[in-house]
Amino acid sequence: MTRLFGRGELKRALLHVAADLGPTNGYAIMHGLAERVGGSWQPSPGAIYPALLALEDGGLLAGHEHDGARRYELTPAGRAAVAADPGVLDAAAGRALRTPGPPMTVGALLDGLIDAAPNRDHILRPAQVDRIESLYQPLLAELQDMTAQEAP
Amino acid sequence: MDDFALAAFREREARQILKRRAFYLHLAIFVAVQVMIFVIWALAGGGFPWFLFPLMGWGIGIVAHGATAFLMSHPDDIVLEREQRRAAKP
Repeated sequence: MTRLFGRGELKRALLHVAADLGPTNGYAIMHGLAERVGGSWQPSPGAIYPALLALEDGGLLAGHEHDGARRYELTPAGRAAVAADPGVLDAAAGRALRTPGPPMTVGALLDGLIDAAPNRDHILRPAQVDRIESLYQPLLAELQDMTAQEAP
Repeated sequence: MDDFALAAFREREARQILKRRAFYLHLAIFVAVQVMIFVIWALAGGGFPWFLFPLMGWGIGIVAHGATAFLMSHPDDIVLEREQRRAAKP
């Protein structure tokens, strides 16, 4: 994971996400942060959980057990810290946009198409098969052209 | 401890294993090279023990690497260790 946040910045960003989401668990805060930062940056529990613990120790977040998961909520001190520190998420999102992600391959692109396909077990009628094939034939031709042109 | 905390602890474990494996690999290379240097010195008729210079120079590096692999913790890991001690308390 590239280092997107400077010293202490991750904690400040997490406070903003917690403020937006209201009382919620660590996974929701982590996903909320990834959504707001965008780009190819992916947080992990190994970085987010210690930051949440530190915020709890610092009295900016309060943690409560709820249905087997710990929920985090801003304390009044946390709310004051968020109000006094705007723009931290926007700054991180700006940096994430400028950080190049992993290169996209033909396989990864097609995997995305397969993942997005609804109801994979749905049986198609012959006319529907023809229709779908006629749609993806130009795509295949385009991909073959592209890879043939760029081959060494 | 909830699933999120457990995922964080698993990540920490994986990080530690990786750090230690990197150290063992470094140690293996160190030992192999030092033995080779010693053999060269012995085959060359012994004499002034010049093989000690690379042994001591690189030895400082090996000790420092060992210290970071086994003794020093990332700040995140220090927070997690404290949490683990707290959770272990009855």
